[in-house]
Amino acid sequence: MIAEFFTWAAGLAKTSPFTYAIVNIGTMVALGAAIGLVADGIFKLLRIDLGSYKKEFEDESAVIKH
Amino acid sequence: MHMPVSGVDMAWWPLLLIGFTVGVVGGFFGIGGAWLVTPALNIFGFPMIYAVGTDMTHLVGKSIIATFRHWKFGHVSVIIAVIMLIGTFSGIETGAQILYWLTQKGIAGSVVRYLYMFLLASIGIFMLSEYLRVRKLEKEAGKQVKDIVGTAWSRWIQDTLNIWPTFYCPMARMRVSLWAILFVGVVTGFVAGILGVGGGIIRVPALIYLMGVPTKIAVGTDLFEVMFSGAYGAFTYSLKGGVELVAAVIMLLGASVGAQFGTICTKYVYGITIRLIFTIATFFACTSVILKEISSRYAAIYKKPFEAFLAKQGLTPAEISAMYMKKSAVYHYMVEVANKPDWWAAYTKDYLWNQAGGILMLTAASGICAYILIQLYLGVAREVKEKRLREQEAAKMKV
Repeated sequence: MIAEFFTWAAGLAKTSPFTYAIVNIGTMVALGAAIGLVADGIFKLLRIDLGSYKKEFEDESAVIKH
Repeated sequence: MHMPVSGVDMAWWPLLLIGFTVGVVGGFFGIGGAWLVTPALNIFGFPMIYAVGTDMTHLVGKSIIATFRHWKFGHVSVIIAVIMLIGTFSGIETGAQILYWLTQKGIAGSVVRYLYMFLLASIGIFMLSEYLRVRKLEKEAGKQVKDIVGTAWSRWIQDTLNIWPTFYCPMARMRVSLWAILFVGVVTGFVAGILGVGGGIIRVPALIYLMGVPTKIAVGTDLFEVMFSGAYGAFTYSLKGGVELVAAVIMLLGASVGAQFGTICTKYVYGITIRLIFTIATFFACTSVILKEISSRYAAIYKKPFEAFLAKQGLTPAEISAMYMKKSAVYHYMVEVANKPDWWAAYTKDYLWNQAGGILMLTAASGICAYILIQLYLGVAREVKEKRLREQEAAKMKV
């Protein structure tokens, strides 16, 4: 099924470049969003805290401010 | 593995490895990293004509993953990114028009490369001197400096363009005028447009030095922009048939893992360290452009007449591009068919300089990637140790 999708997309590159562009971007957005969410889920399951934290620029004494 | 659009056959693992490496580097710096990916892809036999488009396409997915993680960390200033995006696109369009004019005059290649070299060298030298100055200051004061926020330039821009409407950016902890953001967006977009590059390597220093944004916020905010500039690039290259979707997906799979490592590492290092590694990357990018300029001088000797000759022989542009990867075929047409040994000599030198550039970029990317992974390991180990100590102390208190 995946091979068929790529063959179909490659065909679009020749027959309909505009659709090919949309398919390319759509595929990347869908994969990017899915992988990002899955990775976040895995980190949550592993109880690894990757939320907001105290950054060094919030500590005025360790930052040079102009 | 067969690539259905370009028609070339290549192994899948270099794509996965390149994706992983550039994912680590890109997630850490907040840049697209085309200067790393394009020569790296080319060295593994991926035709140049498809390398840029495929890189731009995988960038869309990779930047979504990296931006999401940076956003969770609180490194993305959405207000600055969205407004800057408007300025960036108008600047890119203006810069692209000038690039088109230079191309028509036949001087685009060298002018662009010299401008790019100058810009990268200036950024690199400036950032390195600043880093060394801070380190000296640290020794004198005996106090660690973790980041530098704002410059005299950013203060000047914000004082001069302090016009309504102004916004408070909670992430960057600063109040800034819409016009100041637009100004910086237009300037960086213009430079990116004239250079024909994505612009991350220019935008990150611009956010730091012209906007006065803390380093980590600059990294996350730039990645937000890369999502859109990458999509724009992917769209235009796809229209020209210059994207290999299979390769982009494999690269994205590698990048999705690499981007997690690169992005998470930003939590464990200080802004000043990110700046130092960024400086090193800038010098490598500059070296890559210098090597490209040298190879282009040899390419100028044979490329146009050879391609015109091949077109007369009935070869399509895609076939010509694929042929450059097969030295025996090039030799056959240049020496045996066209009887032009001087073309062959120039081609060999062009090929060698390109390979040298590719190897250098791969080595640089691998080195930077390894450094980031070591920093990540050290950071996680430190955090785990501190957590354990805290738990032990809490247990003692209970007893």
